[in-house]
Parts: sequence; C-alpha cells; structure tokens
Amino acid sequence: MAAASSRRQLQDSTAQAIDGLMNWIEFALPMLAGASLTLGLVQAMVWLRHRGQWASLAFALAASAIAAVMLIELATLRTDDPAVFQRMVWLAHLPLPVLFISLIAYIDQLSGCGRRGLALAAIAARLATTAINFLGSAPNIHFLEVKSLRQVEFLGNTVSTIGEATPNPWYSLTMLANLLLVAYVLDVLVALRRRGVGIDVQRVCWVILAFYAFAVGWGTLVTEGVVQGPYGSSSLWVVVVVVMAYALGADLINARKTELRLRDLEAHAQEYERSVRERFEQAAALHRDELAHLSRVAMLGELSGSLVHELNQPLAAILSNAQAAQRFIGREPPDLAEVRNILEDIVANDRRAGQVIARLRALFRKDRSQQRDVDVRQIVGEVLQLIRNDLLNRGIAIEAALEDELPVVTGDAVQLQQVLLNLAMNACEAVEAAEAGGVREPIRVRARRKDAQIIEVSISDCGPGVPEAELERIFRPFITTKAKGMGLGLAVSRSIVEAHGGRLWVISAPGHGATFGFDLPVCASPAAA
Amino acid sequence: MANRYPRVAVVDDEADVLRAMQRLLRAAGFEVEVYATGEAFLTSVKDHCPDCVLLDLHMPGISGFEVQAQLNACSCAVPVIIITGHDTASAQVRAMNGGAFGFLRKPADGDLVVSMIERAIGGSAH
Repeated sequence: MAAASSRRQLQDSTAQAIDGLMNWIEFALPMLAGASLTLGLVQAMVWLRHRGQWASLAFALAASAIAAVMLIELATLRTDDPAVFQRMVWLAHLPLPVLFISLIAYIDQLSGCGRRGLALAAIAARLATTAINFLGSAPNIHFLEVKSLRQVEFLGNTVSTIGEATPNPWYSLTMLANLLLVAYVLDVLVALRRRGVGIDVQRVCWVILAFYAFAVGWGTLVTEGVVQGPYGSSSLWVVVVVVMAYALGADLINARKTELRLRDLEAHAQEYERSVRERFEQAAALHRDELAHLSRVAMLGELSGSLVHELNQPLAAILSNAQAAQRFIGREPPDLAEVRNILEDIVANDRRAGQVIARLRALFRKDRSQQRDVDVRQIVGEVLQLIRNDLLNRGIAIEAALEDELPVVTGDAVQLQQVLLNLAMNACEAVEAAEAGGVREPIRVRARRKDAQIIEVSISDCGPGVPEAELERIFRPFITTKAKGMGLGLAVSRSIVEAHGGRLWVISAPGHGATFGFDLPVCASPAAA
Repeated sequence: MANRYPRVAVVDDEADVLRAMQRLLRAAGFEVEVYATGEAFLTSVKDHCPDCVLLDLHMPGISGFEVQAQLNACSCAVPVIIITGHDTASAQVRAMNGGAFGFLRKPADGDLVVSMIERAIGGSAH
C-alpha cells in the first residue's frame, strides 16, 4: 500500500511538473514584457542624454505600454471570473492610449512626413474611447456584459477567453480610432515610398499595419467562436517593438555613418579651403610684390638724377685717378709710389661703383619677396646713401639717430628699403611744401628698439603735417596730396610692412610736421654670425 | 705767379673725388689745396686767394652757388670752374650767369679740366 501510495504521489508530482512546463505562456508573456521594458529603458536613457530625440521617448513609452498590456492580458488568460476579466479589459485602456499616441509620435518623428490632421483625429478618437471606457456606465468599452468565460486549449495551454458576452456599441469608436491610425500609417508609408526614403520606418509601418489587420481579424474570429484562443494578442506586439527598436538603432547607425561621412567631407572642405587660401595668399603676395615693384621703379625714376650722381662719383674719381697716374708714369723718373696709391684708390672706387650698381639692380629687379635676416641699421644707411644727392640738390639736411646693436628682423631688405625710401621722399616733399623762406629744419631718421619684441623706424619732418581727417585715408591706394605721383607709395608701404608682421603708422599735428614710422617684429631666432 | 706753380683750390664734399682731382692737378703741375666744404674754402679765401677754383655745386652746408655768390661779393676775383654730377641746364645757366668761367660734368676728362684751368688762369702751369 505504501509503495502504491508513493508511486501515485510520484506520478501526481510528475504530472504537475509536466503541466507546469507546458504552461509556458505564464513565463513567456512576463519575459516578453521584460524584454520590451528593457528596450524601452535603453531608449529612455538615450532620450535623457539627447533630449531632442523625441522618437526615442515615443519608443520608450510605447514599449512600456506594450509591457503593461501584456501583463494585463496575462491576468485575463488566467482568470475564470468574468468580473475580473471585465476589470482587466477596463484596465488595459490605461496603457493602450499611451501606446496609440506613442506610435503616432514615433512615426511622425522618424518619417517627418505624417499628416498632422490625420494624427490628431486618430488621437482624438482614441482619447474619446478612453474617456468612454473610464467614464461610461458599462464595465468597459468592449462589453456591456460578460456572462461567462470559456477555458480553451491554446498552443498546449489552457487559457480563458470570451464565453457569452454582450458587445458595447461604443466599441465601434475604438475601431474608428484604429482605422484612423491605419490611415495615418498608410499615408506615411505611401509618402516615404514615393520619396524612396526611410526604409526602416517603412518596415515599421508595414509591421504596424500587419499587426492591426491581424489583431482586428483575430479578435473578431475569437469573439465569433471561429477560433479557439485568447481574446487579446498583445504578445505579437513584441514583433512591432523589435522592428521599431531596429529602426531606431538603424537610425543611430546611419547617424554614425553620416557623422563619419560629414567628418570626411569636413576634412575635405578644410583641405580645399586651405588650398584655396594658400593660392589666394600666393596670388595676393604676387600682386603685392608686383605692385611694390611698380611703385619702387616709379620712385627710383624720380630719384634717377641722384642715382646717376651716386654712380658718377666713383667713376669721376676713377677717371681722374687714372689720368693722374698716366701723368705720374710719364715723368722721369716715374713716381711709382704715387701710382701705387692711385691704383689702390681706383680699385676701391671701382668696388664702390660695383656696389652702387648691385644696389640699384636689386631695387629694380622684379623678384618674389625673399625673407632673410635684415640689419635695420644697414638698410637705413643704404637708403640715406641713395637719397643723399637728392637731398643735397634740394637743400634738405637729414639727421640720423640709429641705436647701436639693433637686433635683426626677418624680411625682404629691398622692400624694407623701399618703405624707408618712400617715407624719406615724402618727408622731403613735406619740408619743401612748408617752405616759406624760413630755415629748413632737417629730416630726422630714427631707429630704436621699442621693446623686447619690436624695432621702430621713424622719419620726422617739419612740414605742414597731415590733417586729422586724412590720417587714415592717406594709406589708401590712389590717394595723394602731391601734384605728381600715383598715390601708391603709402598703400604699398603699408602692405609691405604688414606682410612683414609689422605696422605702419603716422603721428601728426597740422602745422607741426609729421612722423611716419613702422614697427617690425624682432627676429625670433637671431641669425648665427 | 711766375715764380710759383699756379694754385688751384678744389672744393668737393666727396673725399674720393677730391683726392683724385688733387693728384691729377698736382701731376699737371698745379699747386693744389682741397676743401671738403664751401665754408672751409671761404674761410681760406680771407687769408689767401687761389688762382682758380674747381667748385662742386651740391654740398652739405653752403652750396656751390652760394660760394660763387660770396666770392663775387668779396675782393677775391678768382675764376670759378664748376664741376658737378648734376648736369641740369638750369644749374649750368645759373652758374654761368653767376660768372663761372666754365661748367664741367662729372666724370670730366682730366685733360679737359687741366686745359680749362689753364685757360682760366691765362697760361700753362708748366
């Protein structure tokens, strides 16, 4: 007896275990709900970090609502009490409108082409059903009465479903809301297909449409008793959730791809911009060099008399020395000591003439700007030498105060000489313009170290000065106060100084002369001696 | 004058030119005195008057034109030969109107310089 009893107990417990294993819906629905909630949570976090991504929020709400619907549906499957069944159907209308509205918001955000009017109409109808569900006299919007439930076998499980029930006539409003939603989704689908965009969103639309078609059909078939199965079909919403999540993920992947592409494009754009800028700068430098050359040649033309004289001096000395040597050699006895001295002077004067020619050639040459270490004292000295005879002709004295041991600057010596030459010649003309029979004050050239980083070179005259209104204007091209001249001198000088990283400036009080000067940055790494 | 070499003063601010001209004229048999400025020359004139002066026009300080004018104003009636690198017509006219004996352009031929000085003085240096 005892053995028979224990065998029966074993059989019962095995049967229970098999029943438990077979009742998989009780595990599956919470698991699917959990999965749906997890996906929703992920997108909720995405939205929290990127508040502009409203599709993520819509998805999170939809997934949460679906999870809630699944759990409510599980309760309807397990109960055999019509009142509890009715209560659960009633309760399902809390998450269902959230799901409904979230779906529309999700599609609207991802597609960007939904008809807002249609969406609002669908939402309004859905909210109306919700209101009727909760505020109406009937237990819920589905049924006026559920008299009995039936227990049916479904996929190896025993589940409850509608037995005898009286439908609620307001339920047709729910159908209307669903139809409006379907119309909205169809409209979006058509629009996307026409444009040939949004494959992932199209897929979501297809799945939603398929689900609604199935859900409506299934509900009708179950209610009519054609099919034995549960009244709800919320588990299938998992498919919708997965497709929606994939669309969002694809969106993120696409966004990443687009971002990489944009970065690539940005890099190309920067490269192109750099190339264009370089070409522009090269063209501007070329233009500046050509203009500087033009202005320089014009200025040297004005100085031609003085430049010829500068060359004439050593030539005159050479000729006189050579003819003197001829006479000394012709003496009896020849004065060879004097001839030797003469030859030394001839060599020195020839070298001097060579230097003058080299200097002139450099000034006339049309070269690209060459950046080298430049000794400011040397270029000031050479310019003073160039204009020396011109100043003598005009009866203008010049005084130079050059600080000893000025550091070198980096630049184009010829162009910097040109700037100085231009300022000096302007000063001469200012002095001549101010002449009224009085004593001419000398022009003063000054070169000093302004601070650790800057060398300042300035030329002061006691001419009529520059009116305040003209102080900026005179640096513009083709602006001149002279009867002759192109009005390029100061404009070109300014562009040269600025190309050297410096600044050309003027200080003047009308009637009290003017000081024009330029600052140049000291060479960062002084040239090795 | 018959007992000494003719004395020629050279006034030029260019040291190289001054030295070369001094040699040339010395080789040609003149006694030469050189002055780097017009002021120095005019000061010397108060003490003694040369037989001829070779005068540059453009110099710092007093110009050749002013030297010429001051010479005309004083008792030293010395022939003046202008030698300059600035060969403008107006400068030549002004110098000649100021009583210059001759007007030479740098670089001037030495034989021409010597012969013009000799003509100015009125005889050979030898």
